[in-house]
Amino acid sequence: MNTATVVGTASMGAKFLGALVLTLKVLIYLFLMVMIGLFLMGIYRKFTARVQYRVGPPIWQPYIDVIKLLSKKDAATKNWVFDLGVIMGLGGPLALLLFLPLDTIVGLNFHTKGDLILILYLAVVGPLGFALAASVGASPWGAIGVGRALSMMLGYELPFILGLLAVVAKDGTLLLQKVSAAQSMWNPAGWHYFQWPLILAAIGAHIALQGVMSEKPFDQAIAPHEIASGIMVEFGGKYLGMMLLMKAASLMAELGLFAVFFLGGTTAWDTIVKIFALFIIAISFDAVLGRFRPDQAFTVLWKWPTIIALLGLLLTVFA
Amino acid sequence: MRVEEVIKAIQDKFGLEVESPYPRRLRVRIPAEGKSEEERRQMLRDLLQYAKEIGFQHMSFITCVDFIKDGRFELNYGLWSYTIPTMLVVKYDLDRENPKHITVVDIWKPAKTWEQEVHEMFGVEFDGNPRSFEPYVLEDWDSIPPLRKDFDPVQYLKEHPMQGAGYDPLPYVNLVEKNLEQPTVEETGGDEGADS
Amino acid sequence: MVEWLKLVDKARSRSIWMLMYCTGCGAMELPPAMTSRFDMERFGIMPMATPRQADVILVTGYVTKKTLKRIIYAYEQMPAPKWVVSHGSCPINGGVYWDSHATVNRLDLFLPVDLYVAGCMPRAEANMKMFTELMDMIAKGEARGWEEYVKNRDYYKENQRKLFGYDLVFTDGRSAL
Ligand code: SF4
Repeated sequence: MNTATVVGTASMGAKFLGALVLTLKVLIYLFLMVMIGLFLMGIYRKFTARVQYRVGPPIWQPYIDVIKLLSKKDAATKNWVFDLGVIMGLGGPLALLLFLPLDTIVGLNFHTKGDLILILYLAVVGPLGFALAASVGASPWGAIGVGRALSMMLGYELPFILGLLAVVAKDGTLLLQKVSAAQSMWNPAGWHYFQWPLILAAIGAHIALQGVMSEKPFDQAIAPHEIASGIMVEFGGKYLGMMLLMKAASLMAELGLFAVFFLGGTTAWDTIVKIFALFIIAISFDAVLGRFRPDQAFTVLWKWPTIIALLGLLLTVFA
Repeated sequence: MRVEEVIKAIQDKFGLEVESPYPRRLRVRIPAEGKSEEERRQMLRDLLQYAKEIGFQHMSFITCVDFIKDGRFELNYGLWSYTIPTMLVVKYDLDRENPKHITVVDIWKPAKTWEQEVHEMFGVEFDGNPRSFEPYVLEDWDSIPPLRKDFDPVQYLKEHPMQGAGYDPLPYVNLVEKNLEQPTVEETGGDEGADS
Repeated sequence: MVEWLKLVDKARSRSIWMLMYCTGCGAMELPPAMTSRFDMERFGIMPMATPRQADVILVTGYVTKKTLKRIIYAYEQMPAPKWVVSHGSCPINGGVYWDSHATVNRLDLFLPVDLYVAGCMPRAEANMKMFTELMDMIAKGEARGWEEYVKNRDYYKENQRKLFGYDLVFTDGRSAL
């Protein structure tokens, strides 16, 4: 409200300047987040290589890959639905990032307005966009990948949302800011993750998080050895570069969401530290596990994490 | 069933000599003389059927050997048993000039592909196999079947210079001509490599 | 602008993704080059599952007439700065299969080859040498086969037509490239 009245009384030029600064801030913020996400992917490749007793690529390899991919010329022209899908896919996680407390890093405060419902809507925009683009491409592998991606989405959303709902029930609010305010920033005992009975919900959501990030054992949708990288099969050159950026952005968004809800992420810096910790845990599992079959993955996701998260939710509500 | 029992059973039932050239290998030949084409075909089918019943579960191959000097093709049906475990090879002679034969798809499903391949590589026609006339690995083939002994690859490559040598200056055509002194079909008689 | 192009060339040379499409016997030597002994990922070289994502196609052995069609299709689906490496003596002049009815003896008549590795088959060390060489060539902007293919399109298409007897087209009726 305050800002609205201020803007209302300000002159035209000041208004314009304010909008410009805001836009710049948003762009810088998103750029920074994507860069950190790419850095995470670099860590991923180095880490996996070390686990496999290899030297591995330099840690800035994803930046090189993105530069190379964006500098490519595309061989075939695509139709506009394909382009739209790719833009949607990149836009979803970027919009989601705006509503996480990470935006304090450049002094924005969108995150005070973000609530769970909005975020859950935005969270599916990215995958849906890429599913749209992939299903327009002619390759049958793409169609299989889309099928797998959508069914996996159904699989991991249930336990993940159940886990988040438990937190909502405990704190009695949907607003992210209030959820993180209910926890301590650095003292683990004050985190939702380590409070009974929320720890059950947290564990359920944490298992589902592996599926949300589509790391092993839940990476059926992009299995390169089975279905020629599934939804990505028709993406080459610039499109693939956009896909890498989307992957980086959504890594930050998903891990950031989890950190806010369970690890007390309040400001940018502590959330980023927690994101790194969460990511290292996730890729440790990724490096040593195999891949489930799609039906197995679905069964697993709807069984154990769902039961655990549901138990956590019920205990929170009725205890 | 043991190996000796298999040998005996086939001898009793069909009156055919089963030889065992080395362990785990049995060979039986459908005799070419004294029988009409119909009877020999029937015998082959009965034998394959019977072998399936006594525990040869797996058709490993159907191959063909070109005995150009004798003017015959020899078809080999290889059946493997996991229980005995032994390979039974049934040999059947065909006229080289007019290689017409019947399919065994109704007894052994895998024969569909094997017969398709033999047709492509040797030109043997299998009556009753729906896939027999479709191309198998060669696309746009325009010469006699390539594994016949009278097929001359060097000649073929001369007729197809793009494939055999190269574009305009044809630097490798000389190479092709020089190597023509390798033994030709007449000298070797064309019967090396005849084994199952 | 020139500086920028140099940076791009450098990035291209440090991030070569190869198409996992292998012909003939030579693919046997790629797993050792990929795994911990030689580890080509330290140069940013990765195998990729589809031609759309790949930068280099390795022709790892004899090329049959049938395979060549698929190689050309895959090559034309790759996005533009792309390279062909001919691996082993078979794609150079036919190797031991020079008089086979099925193989095509010279690859460079049908596709622009950037780099040859001789040997039957080239060992993993030769592969690594080949990759570093290719990286150097790309960084210096020397590997320009893809431009050659566009410039001399008539030549290559004519050769392909003479070999197959017809023009290669995609299933939806587009002419290849
Ligand atoms: S060069 Fe040697 S190893 Fe390579 S495909 Fe030819 S025969 Fe095989």
